[in-house]
Amino acid sequence: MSLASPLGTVGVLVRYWVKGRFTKATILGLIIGEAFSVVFILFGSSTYLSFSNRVGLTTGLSEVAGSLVLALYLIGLIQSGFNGGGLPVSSSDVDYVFTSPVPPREVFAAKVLLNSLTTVLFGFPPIIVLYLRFSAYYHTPMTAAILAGLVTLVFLVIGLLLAADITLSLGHGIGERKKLWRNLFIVLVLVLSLLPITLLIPGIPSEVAYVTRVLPNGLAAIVSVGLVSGTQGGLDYILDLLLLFAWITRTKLPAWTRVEGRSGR
Amino acid sequence: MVEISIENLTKHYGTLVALDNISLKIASGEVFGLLGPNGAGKSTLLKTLVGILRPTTGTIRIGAIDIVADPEKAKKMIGYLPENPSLYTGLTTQEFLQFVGKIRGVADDLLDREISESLKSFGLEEKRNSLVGTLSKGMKQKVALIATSLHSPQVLVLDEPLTALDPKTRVSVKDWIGGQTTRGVTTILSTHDLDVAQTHAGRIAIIDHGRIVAVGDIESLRHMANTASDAKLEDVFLRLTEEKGEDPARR
Repeated sequence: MSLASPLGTVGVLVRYWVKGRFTKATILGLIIGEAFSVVFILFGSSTYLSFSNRVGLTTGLSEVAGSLVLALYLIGLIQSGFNGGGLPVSSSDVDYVFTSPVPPREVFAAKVLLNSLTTVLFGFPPIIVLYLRFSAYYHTPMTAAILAGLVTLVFLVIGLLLAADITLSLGHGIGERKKLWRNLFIVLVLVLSLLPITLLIPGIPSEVAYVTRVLPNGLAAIVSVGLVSGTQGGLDYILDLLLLFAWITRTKLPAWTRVEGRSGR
Repeated sequence: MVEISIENLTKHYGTLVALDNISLKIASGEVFGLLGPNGAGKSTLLKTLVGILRPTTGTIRIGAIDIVADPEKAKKMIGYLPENPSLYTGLTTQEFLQFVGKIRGVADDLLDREISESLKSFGLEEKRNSLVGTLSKGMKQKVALIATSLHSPQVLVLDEPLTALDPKTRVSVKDWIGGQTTRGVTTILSTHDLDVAQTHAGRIAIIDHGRIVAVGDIESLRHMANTASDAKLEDVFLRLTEEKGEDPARR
């Protein structure tokens, strides 16, 4: 009697968790929620574009707005990570998965994968709709909207991995013991994530803009908005993309190494 | 068949001492009863034993395997029935049992056969495709029992298997426990049902305030409690726990 390969075990966990989570009633609720979010996005983006057109705002401000929205998403995810909610572990998991011979690193890998799938599945359509609306407004090709959506998707995965990393390293009691570090880190993440707001202040030093450009939310916003508005291109675009992928690699590594380290529970 | 060895086990939750220097040896194939008032530390002991909780100090060995040093290997040998099992309510009975069997490494063909036979013996065949969330409390307990033994464990850890069950279900659960013990599975049975403990367990440990107050067969416990030679386990239990300064009825 032996367990399947790690990949096979992760596959079994995800398959049955998905089966258990997406009942008919849940799927119906999700479709209704998804339709509502698409309508809301269309309404919100049209209002924003109409307002920006009337007062003559530039795409630069769209980048700031996009960056802020993504920053808030990141903060929400990280906050859930601090609360141990980044990777929700149910009492059923405790009773049946954590008492099984499946190593915790495989359980957490499956949790991250399931969270990512859920985010992609339900977060992606409204994002694409938003970029399609922008693309129609700026008369850029539809492919630009899809590319912009993919860039935002990379950002979402960064957020998930960061939340998973924080959950695993600070969550479940360890967080309490490291309260000071936890709170300092929250403040740091908040400050860095909300940096783009300072760009709205007239005469802000250009260094701040550079800092914003290298943060994942700033990068994702600049590249995505740049693509749909047709202002992004050339070497800057490639450099921004490379930086964004550097972020995902940097975020990914600590998450897995810490999970490995906790396999003894 | 494997023996269980617990040495100097302590478990602290902050300043609260849930388990205080517990040492026990449970022989291969033995049925070991665990009694104690609510909050005595029974569930904490069992959760530590199955690897859900990590001991503060001390060691637990399942056969030759240390549960902290090699949890995956130890967990392969254990079947655990939680006090209030949280089943995956969005899965059907069959899916839930398949899931539990697969993550415990049971081969697919063997698993299907085992599930069919177990559902039949518990009279749950008709509920095979019903969502677990729609089953009654008794049915859920039966499904949880099947899940506990799908991988033919060498050690069974049963936490209050008879709580809140109707008489009919209690009989089938008692039969199941009897069946497992005759197979020679080393069993730890935590229960408030003193009759079940007296019927099935060769030795019984009484735990109170995180400490083992007394351990032995019913005769030794009667002797320790200084009760009559035909005293019921209930009287022995009350005497032994009262001697520690607490009236269990008040908890």
